[in-house]
Amino acid sequence: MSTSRALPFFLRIAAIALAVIGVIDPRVQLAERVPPAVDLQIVAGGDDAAGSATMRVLTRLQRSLGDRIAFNSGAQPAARVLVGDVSASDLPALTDVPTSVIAVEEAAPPNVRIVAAESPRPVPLGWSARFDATIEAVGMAGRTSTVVLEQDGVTLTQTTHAWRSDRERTRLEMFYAAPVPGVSRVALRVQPADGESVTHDNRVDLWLKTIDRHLNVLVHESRPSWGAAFVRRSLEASPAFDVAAITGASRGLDVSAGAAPRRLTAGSLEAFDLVVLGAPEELSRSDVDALRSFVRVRGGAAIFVPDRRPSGSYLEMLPASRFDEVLVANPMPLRSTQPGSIHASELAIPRDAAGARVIASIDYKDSDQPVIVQWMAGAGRILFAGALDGWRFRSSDSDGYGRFWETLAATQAMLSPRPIEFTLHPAIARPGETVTIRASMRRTELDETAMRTRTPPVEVRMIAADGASTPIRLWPAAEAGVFEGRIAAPAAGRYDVQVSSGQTTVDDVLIAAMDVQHAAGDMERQADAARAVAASTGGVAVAANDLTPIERVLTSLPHGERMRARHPVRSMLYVASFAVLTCAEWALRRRRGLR
Amino acid sequence: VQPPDHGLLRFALDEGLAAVVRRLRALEALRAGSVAVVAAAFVWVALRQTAVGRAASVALALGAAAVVFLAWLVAHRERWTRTQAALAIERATPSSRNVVLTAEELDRHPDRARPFVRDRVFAAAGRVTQSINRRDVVALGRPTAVTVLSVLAAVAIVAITMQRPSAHDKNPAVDAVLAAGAPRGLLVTATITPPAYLQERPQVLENPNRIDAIAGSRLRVVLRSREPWRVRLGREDLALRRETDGSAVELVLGESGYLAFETIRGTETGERRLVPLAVTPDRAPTIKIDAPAKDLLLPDDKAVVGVAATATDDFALESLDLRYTKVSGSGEQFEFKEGSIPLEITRPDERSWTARARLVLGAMQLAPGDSLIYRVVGKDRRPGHAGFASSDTYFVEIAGPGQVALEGFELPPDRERYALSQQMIVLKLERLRARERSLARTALEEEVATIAAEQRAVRSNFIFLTGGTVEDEEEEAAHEHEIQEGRLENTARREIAAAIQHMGRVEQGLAAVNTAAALPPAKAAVDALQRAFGRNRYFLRTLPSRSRVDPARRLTGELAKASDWRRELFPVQPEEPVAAARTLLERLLELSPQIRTGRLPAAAMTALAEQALSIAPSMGDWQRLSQRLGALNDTPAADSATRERLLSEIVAAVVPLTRSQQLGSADATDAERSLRSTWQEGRSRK
Repeated sequence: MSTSRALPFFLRIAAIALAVIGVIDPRVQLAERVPPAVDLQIVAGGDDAAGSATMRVLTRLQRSLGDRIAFNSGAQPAARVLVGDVSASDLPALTDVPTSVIAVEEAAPPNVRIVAAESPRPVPLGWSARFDATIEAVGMAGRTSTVVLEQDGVTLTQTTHAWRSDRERTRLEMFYAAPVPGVSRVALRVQPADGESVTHDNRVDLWLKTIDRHLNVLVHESRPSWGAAFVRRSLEASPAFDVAAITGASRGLDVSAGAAPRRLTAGSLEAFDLVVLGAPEELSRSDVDALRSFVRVRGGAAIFVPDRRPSGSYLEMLPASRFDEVLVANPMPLRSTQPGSIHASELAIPRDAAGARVIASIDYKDSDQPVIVQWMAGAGRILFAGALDGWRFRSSDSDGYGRFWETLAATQAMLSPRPIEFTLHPAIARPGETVTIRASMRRTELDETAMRTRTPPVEVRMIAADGASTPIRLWPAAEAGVFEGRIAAPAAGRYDVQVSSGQTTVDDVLIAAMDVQHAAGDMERQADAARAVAASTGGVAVAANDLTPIERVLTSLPHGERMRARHPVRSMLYVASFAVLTCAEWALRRRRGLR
Repeated sequence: VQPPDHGLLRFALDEGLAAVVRRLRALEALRAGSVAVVAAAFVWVALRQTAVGRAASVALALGAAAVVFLAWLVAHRERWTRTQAALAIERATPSSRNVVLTAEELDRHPDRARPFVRDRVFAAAGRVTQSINRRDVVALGRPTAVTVLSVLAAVAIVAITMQRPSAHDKNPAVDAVLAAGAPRGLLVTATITPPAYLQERPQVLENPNRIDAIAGSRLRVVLRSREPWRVRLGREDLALRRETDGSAVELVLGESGYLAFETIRGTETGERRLVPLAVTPDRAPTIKIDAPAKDLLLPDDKAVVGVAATATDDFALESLDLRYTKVSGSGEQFEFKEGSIPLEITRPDERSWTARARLVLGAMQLAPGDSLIYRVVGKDRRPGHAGFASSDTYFVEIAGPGQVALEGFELPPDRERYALSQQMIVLKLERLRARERSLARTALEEEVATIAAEQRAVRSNFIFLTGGTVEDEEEEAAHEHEIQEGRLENTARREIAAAIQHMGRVEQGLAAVNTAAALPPAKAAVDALQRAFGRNRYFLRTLPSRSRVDPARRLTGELAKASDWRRELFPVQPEEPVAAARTLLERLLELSPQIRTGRLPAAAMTALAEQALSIAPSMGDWQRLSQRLGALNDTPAADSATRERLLSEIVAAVVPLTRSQQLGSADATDAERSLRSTWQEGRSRK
């Protein structure tokens, strides 16, 4: 077949083939390149100003990367970006994509914020809880801030601070005693300064717990001792204490009150939080052994109140190597940071007391001499009161003596652990926020042998106001008898969290509320954790004023491919090809003179 | 046909006429009653506009009603005659054709017709009266209704006017004050008349925020208001007496409290106003002996002791007197003789006096060993024994055989009371010896006498210590000197006895103004005491008088019967004001949402104010709190900002009154210290 005849033939065949294919209309899967998908999330929190700043960041990202990045396209994200006050709990525990964090910029001055504020320790009824707060001010030099502690918007107490420099941090303390036992939500608030734009960080929600627990105190005197007797009288006059006392009046004769054990043993002392020991030089070796166990294992506090030069077996418990006896002509006031006052003219000064915490001291011979000291011993504390004749001057300062001992005894007794202690952190949280529960059992509750330690089972339940109970799983921590668990704070409300082991049950209250505000310091710590998590996923943490690193990360993401179904015969090119083939075939035939 | 019974028909006629007469009389009585009630109401309303009192108004209104009633009946007595009854019957039965009227006339004038005619007429009239319904003749239903309505209207008028103050209740002064804006429409005038013995003028307060008075004052409170109020003193209702110028109450003030004025609206309490009442008691005079102000031990009775005293009172002193008791004898034979010595009194003002006297011992015939106990007593102007007071008591003793007579010793100042010790005696002696040569003889004697007095004080303590044993610790706490003695008892008695002997020798040396002789035994006494107690210092309280052991507080009995003692403990409750303050704070916090929005009823708010005031009515803190709660109550609900501010101020003011204590700060480094102490403990074990 000649070329002039073969070409029209092939053109005809090709056109027929195209026509047949067109009739069949086959579907073809084709891959196409798409921009990387990025999941962009705004983290709630803050006030209007913070919200505006967040929106500005989003706008900038859209403008700079909108054509190269598919934000929130619904496709499987290649990266995740969180904008706002991001905390570690906002980040997913496990993530397979790089997660980056953009923090909104710091508020413009003037600005005051609460950097740190912890919920106070629980206190007995009638005792003030202490609220410590660290407050930071920017651009406030010469101005004054008022800090108020409030409950349901009612001011309970307040204090003021005058700022001296443009960027300053200060630590304030406030005291408040709730009128009834229970848990209440209080707020520490710095009143906004004139012109302050960001106010969400001026408030911190805190948790105040007042307990109706009576502190169990044993006053033990091997012989009548006026020092211990007047301490006992001070404690007996206070409703915070349940005092048991025993005094060896003579050989075989005791004067006792309350549930005081006749002999000191580890078992008989377990019920007490604090033991005050008068005439300690008369203690026998077995007494001292029992006290040692009480302090080290039970975690109790033992206060030795001698009225003469220290001697006897109890010195083995004290880390001090020796005691100097000091006699002054006129009674001197002891210097102490705790409330109350105490005077003495005859003193026993502990020497070489490494690790001791000085509770009260005197100025003697131009140096500060410790008089009342505390040592840590195992889980408990040992205190030595070297004011040998302090009881004589108890009327010097409107019962400062009584207040001093009440405060010291209450402080020490409150530090003595119950059979089970547990904490909620934070005890006031936003729904969904991670709350850590830590329960620790006293060593007396553990079954300890030389080879192993057995811990009794611990149950934790969270009970809602409607009675619904939710079990919480705790995991053993590294330390024996300590368990930890984490839960997401439930919906807004008050929840009773109960920890039980055997016959012992303790409980606490978890408050969940939508408008809970934590201290900025907490937020900073959370932000630090968030940064660490971001780095571990391959993301970056940037400030809103410099988005270059995050733009670099996002633009370096590989483009994606997408498979799409196509019908080639439906395209105009296909139709045109068919037309060209038929036209060419017809033109060649015409040239040959055919029809 | 039977002939008519004329007798029966005549009886029917008479009976019918009499019945109608009774109904006519009742009708007039009803009318008279209606008019009388209306008249009484008018009189009552009219009298309410005058200054006539309520009781008199009632009496006058009732009197007016009676007069009108009687006058009406007298004036209309012709309306219930037989003629009127016959007319009424004729009006009710026109078909009778006046036969009843004719019968009634013939009854009055029988001569106007012949007997058979009369009988016919009476028979016909009798038949008519038999057939009539008397209720149709004289209808009483409507008049009765009118009368009842009149009475109801009158009662309503009286009730309405009773609610409004009458002209009698009104007072131009009250109107003026109320018009000027007396709080809650109440003018309170308090007149405080101090006790007569104070000779002070009464004080008049108008609408006081608080009332301050001396105990025993008479308080007269007059209330003027257009509304009825009642008064309480605390929870006790006071009976108000109506007077021309308002309602008044009088009381004698004994203790602090508060007055609560409350409006009465039916059975409920409306507005409440609280006025704190601070009553200050009249304190007894304070009397002090300035000289010699110490006990004296004198060699004989030749001395003359000058006594100087000062007395002060918060209002006015009335008398001052020096009284003494002479004690003679020895052993178990004592004789007491009391007397008084006139004072030479200087009165710069009536509140502060000074007095002087001379105790001439010779004139009192004091023998060796005898004592004179004296004090100055005084009185303020209160009647009775309430205003009596006495100074401290001092002794003058004439030295007995074997006693060392010194110039006496003085109670050291409080600060040194516990600082005396045998070592200090030694120290003072050594210092005195060092400068002895530079001192004049008189100065030396004076200083020696002072040290001797202190030595005597120390010695007397140790002598006292040798007896007695502690029995009741609580009681002992109030007697520290004896506590100290009890503590040292039973130990090293022999050494203490030796020390006492040495102290005696010190006194002898000092009596001879010989410090060289006194110093060695003083040191020996210290050594003996050190051996006795193993300590180098003793704190003793000097005794202004030689103590005697109180056997009632000493342990006595058989040793074999000694046994354990179990002391009973009682639960300690917070002080009442503190507990009340906590309760108030709890209530305020609990009610804060309603208080802020003004949804708490005013009565509940004033109850809170009263609760605050009742905690301690005489204390300014609680008075101010109560007033602030009152101000909060008066603040409009719409002004939420002010309400919130006031509530915060109130709560912030209550918080300190709950008087809480602060725990000591926990040391953040306790964990670190625990590690260090464990490490040190481990090292010491090695």
